[in-house]
Amino acid sequence: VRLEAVKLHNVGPFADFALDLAALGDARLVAVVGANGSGKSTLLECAIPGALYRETPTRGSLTSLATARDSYVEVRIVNGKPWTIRHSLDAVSGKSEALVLGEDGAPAYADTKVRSFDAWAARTFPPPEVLFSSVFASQAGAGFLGAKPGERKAILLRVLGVERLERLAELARERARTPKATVATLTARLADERARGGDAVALEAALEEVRREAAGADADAEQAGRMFATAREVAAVAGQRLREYEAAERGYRAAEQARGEAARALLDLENRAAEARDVLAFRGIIEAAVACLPVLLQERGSLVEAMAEHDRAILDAERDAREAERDRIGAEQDRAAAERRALAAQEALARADAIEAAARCVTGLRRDVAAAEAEVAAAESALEDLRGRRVSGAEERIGGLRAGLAEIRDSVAAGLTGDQAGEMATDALATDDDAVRSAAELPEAVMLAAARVQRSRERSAKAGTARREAEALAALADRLAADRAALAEAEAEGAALLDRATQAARRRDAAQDRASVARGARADTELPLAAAQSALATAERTAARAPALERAAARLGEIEPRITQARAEIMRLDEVLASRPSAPPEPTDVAAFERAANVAAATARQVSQAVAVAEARLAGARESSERAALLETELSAAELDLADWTRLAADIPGVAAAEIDSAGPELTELANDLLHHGFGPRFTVTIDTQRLSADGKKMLEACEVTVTDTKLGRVAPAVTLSGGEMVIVSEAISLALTTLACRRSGVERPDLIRDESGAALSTVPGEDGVVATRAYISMLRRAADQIGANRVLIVSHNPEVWDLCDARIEVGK
Amino acid sequence: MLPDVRGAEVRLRVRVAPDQRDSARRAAQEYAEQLRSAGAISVKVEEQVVSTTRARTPEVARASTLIDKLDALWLARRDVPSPERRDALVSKIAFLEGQQ
Repeated sequence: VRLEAVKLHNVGPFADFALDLAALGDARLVAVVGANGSGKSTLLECAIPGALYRETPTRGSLTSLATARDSYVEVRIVNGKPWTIRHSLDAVSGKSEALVLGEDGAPAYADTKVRSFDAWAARTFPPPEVLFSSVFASQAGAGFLGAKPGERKAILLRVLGVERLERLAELARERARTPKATVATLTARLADERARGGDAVALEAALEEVRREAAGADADAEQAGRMFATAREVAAVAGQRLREYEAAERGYRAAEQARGEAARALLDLENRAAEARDVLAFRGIIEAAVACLPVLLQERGSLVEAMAEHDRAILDAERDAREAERDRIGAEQDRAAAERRALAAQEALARADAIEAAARCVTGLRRDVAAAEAEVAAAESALEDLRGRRVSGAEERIGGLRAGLAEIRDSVAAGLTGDQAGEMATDALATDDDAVRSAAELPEAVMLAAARVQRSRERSAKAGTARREAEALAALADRLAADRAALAEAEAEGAALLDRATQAARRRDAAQDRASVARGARADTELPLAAAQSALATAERTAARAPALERAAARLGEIEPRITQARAEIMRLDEVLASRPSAPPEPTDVAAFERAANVAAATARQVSQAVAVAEARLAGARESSERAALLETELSAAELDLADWTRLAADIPGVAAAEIDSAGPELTELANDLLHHGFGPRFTVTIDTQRLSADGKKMLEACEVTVTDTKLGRVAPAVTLSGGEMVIVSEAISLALTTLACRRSGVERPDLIRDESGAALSTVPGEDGVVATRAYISMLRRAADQIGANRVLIVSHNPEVWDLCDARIEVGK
Repeated sequence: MLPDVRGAEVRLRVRVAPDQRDSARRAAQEYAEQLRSAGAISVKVEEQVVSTTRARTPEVARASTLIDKLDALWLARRDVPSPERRDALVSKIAFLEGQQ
């Protein structure tokens, strides 16, 4: 972007301002100077970003800078082509219009709406972030390094034209969809055509085969017709012979049936005769059984009666044994009760000696108790006496002393001498000393008396306890005689019950012996009784057959003549069956011949139809093959088209990746050249445009800037630099980026704008002798050479910078 | 063989790759000592780091038009299309660029 002229009317601090930069001639570095608030930054921001985007980087929108209803900004700019842009601004309504005229004076778009202008500007100029990171360094702008990593990457991709390449790749992908669909359609149609038409060569071979089959089928049908006519003649003769045979066969089968029935009747008669004979064969036995039947009945009755007698004896003996056992158990239970009573009486009598001794000594114990209680009373009395003496002792001493004093007083009053009075006082005091000694001994005497009282009480308590125990035992003495009588009675009863139990046991054993003997006798009777019953049953069964003897004799007389007749009939039928009619000839299967003839004719018709079908399919296949050839030609062209679009869709991103890959070294080289040219070898930057993904599997786009500072000996990300260092490195990278953008886009002779971007740099020499401001201007000149810049417009308040520039624009004058 | 530096103020600039800075610094200091011994009044060592990043296919970036860039890419990949296909691709690229 190159600025050629600018006019501002009622915008910011300007009422009317016009600047034609052509007047600057060949001056390359131009200082824009003026007092604070004079409008240096407003001028430049309105002239380029304001004109291009209707927004300024630090002053807000273009409309917000308008001060009247007729405000306008008009610029002449070259960006590949020269354009004249005029923004008409209304400070009251806040509305604006934009008109763009080309080199020939024709409008760039149809109307003056700002929306149309924005769309045209987006197509014509670089995005704002690219502009602010490269050619236009705004006041206090952070530049390229100040952007976030994601923004730096986006700026780099736009500078490199990668977005355009991505759009082209997307377009190629979209274009590939049409031939892809065409290929799919043609492939499907070709498959349909091939499936519908089939293989012509194979169809020709199949037609030939079917034709051969048709010729064979016709010959088969003719032969089958002839065989069918012959079969019908043979079948007529065979039918007559068959009817004759069937009549003879019916007679033979009737004779066979009659013989079978006669044989079965003879067998029945013979069986019945045999049964009658069997009955008659037992005539002697049956008659003997009838004769002995009464004897057997009598014998069995005797045995049954004996058995009943044995059973009764067993029952009686078992009943006696049970009764004896019950008696024995009762006696045992009574005896156990008597033993328990005797045991209780013995336990009561076990303390008899002690009870009798207690009864004897209870009187003495009562006397001991009385004596002990008297001793306690005496000791308590002595103790009370001593305690009374302790209370009255002091009063006696005071009384004695007072009496002594009164006596001395009276004596002195009566004329007693001093010595005599002294002697009296000495006597009184000696008397009191005796009382004091007596009082001193009294506590010990009280203590001894109290101990005696305690001992007397203990002895009295023991004597009382012994007396009560003796009295309790002595009270039991009256029951001793009754316990002894109960013991004697229980022992006598126990002995009687033991005898009774013994006798009951004997009776039980005797009854059990009787039952055992009766059971033995019963067992001895059981066997003969079973034998008698068996013999009786056999005799009864045999005797029961006696009535059958008569019936068997009568039946045998009836059956024997019928057997003779049946044998004669069988012999007659055997003669009839001796000659069987001969078998007829096999019938001719005329229907089979007819079916065969029909099948052969049908087969011939089917094969004939198959020939017609095969001929039709072959004709269709030949037509289809021609259509398929046309489709294949179309498909081949569509596939090539698809391959081209697919290749472009894949390879254009490859170009973008190569651009990004190449940008890092190129940017690095450009920035380092600027840095080393202006500031010597201290700073070296490395710009990486790609980095490994976290999983290390692919390369990702990035924009990482690392700075090597040889003075401080550190290698660190650029964001860690100080303010002044940041200005140096950021400016170098921004200028390198501008160079790269111009190289990539083919833009020639742009203007570079630097709005106080070097204000943080020192104007005095550093340790290395470098004056940062001069080095910065030197770097700008180098960048202008590299870029081929038209001019570098530098806003500065530093007179040294003014002097280093080629020309000067003074704003506000 | 040292130059004649008697009475001279010497500025010794060392261009070095980032991974060889330590060894280069020692060598430069030794050489500076030798220069001082040879009579130099002062020797100032300036280290200039030379970044070593390199592009894999710089010829793609150097090419000006898209078809030239694609030609460079195909050549680098050894995947050059036939002249007929290239003509078709050129016409398609022109179509795409016309759509922009």
